[in-house]
Amino acid sequence: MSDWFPFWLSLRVSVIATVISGVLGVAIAYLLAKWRSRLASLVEVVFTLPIVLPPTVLGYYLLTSLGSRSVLGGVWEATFGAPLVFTQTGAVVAATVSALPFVIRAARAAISNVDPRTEEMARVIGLPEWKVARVVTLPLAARGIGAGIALGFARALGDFGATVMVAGNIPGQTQTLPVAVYDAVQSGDGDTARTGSLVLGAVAVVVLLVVTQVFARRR
Amino acid sequence: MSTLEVAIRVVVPEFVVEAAFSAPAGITVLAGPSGSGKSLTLAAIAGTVRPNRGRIRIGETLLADAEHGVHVRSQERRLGVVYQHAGLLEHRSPIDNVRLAVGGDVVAAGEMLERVGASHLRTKRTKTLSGGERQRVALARALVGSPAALLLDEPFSSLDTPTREDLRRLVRELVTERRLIALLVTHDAQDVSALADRVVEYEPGRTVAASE
Repeated sequence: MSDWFPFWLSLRVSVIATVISGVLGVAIAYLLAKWRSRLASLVEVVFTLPIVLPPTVLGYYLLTSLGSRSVLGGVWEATFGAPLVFTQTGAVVAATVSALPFVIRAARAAISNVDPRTEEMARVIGLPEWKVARVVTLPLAARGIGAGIALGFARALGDFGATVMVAGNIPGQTQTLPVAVYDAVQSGDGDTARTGSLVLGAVAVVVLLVVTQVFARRR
Repeated sequence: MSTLEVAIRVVVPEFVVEAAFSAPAGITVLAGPSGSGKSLTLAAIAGTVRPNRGRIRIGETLLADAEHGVHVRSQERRLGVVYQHAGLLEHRSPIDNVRLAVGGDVVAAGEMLERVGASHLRTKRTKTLSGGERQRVALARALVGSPAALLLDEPFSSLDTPTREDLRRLVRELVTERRLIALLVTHDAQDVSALADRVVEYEPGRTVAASE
């Protein structure tokens, strides 16, 4: 592979997307786990949609809601003086939205699995609610949360459909590694396609190993 | 001297408990068959269950008054609890477990661990503690914040006989020296004879007043 730009871009985009979806996802998961109502289930469905939607469809919705002619896109452009779509930031948004449901689902399950009696005990000994979360709930759910974040990272790194819709396929600017692999195949560049696929495949295997061996192991 | 006063009706799925008793300083044993609502009474006092009717107060402090919508949060009730399964945070050391109950005060936590004869356990891994060691740490955690009342739910039931006797002695000493209001839920007749200053007899569905 002659040009390593797509690799470094993919890595940067997916790391930033993982941090954002990690923080946001754990917060949303915590609220969903504690807030039991019909509305909460509806909110969870909305946040889970990116898993089941075809990535290009997800990308289409992002594009129409973030493009220059949309309200959000307009606000973004007025604030930062440049459009959001077809930029590296757009790629981060696409990767974040794709990764978020993986974090939310795993974290929500892990947080719901924490024995409520342990949390009650923490309240009785006087810990305020935020400290119950920090000292009891989140540490006890750490493995599930970690697994969700690892899967989210893999999803962010591997995203094709949403990214290509929102960020486009501009070589040297917004072309991430999965998009570069597609591009290489189309143009008959077998070397780039092979190396790119090998790198992405290796990362996927490592993430799965981490999830199954480290995070999912029984205590 | 303040007294813990309980007069409540709690309804949970397929289960109704009515309890009315008062507990001054000393050990009040809640006795009766399982399923008669003793633990549910403790949960109502701890604030993890809301009574459907009635009041709970300690001295002048109202903890719950169902008729007037009063339900003080568990955090603000200033209670110490030791349950059968100690409920220690396994991922934190014993000293941390105690310290958390007293706003992070390491000195107070250390002194309390020493008082219950567990200062050698300070920094051990909580996971590795024996049943008796756990209950000592749990007792330290329950008492370090000078609670208004101490709630004990079968605290000795998973222990062997010598350990059980040691802990009974320790609980008796601590209750006497601190003039604590302590409620003890137990099925063990020896607990009753060794520790009870008063007994509240539970029967499924209703409660008899305390006897000395």
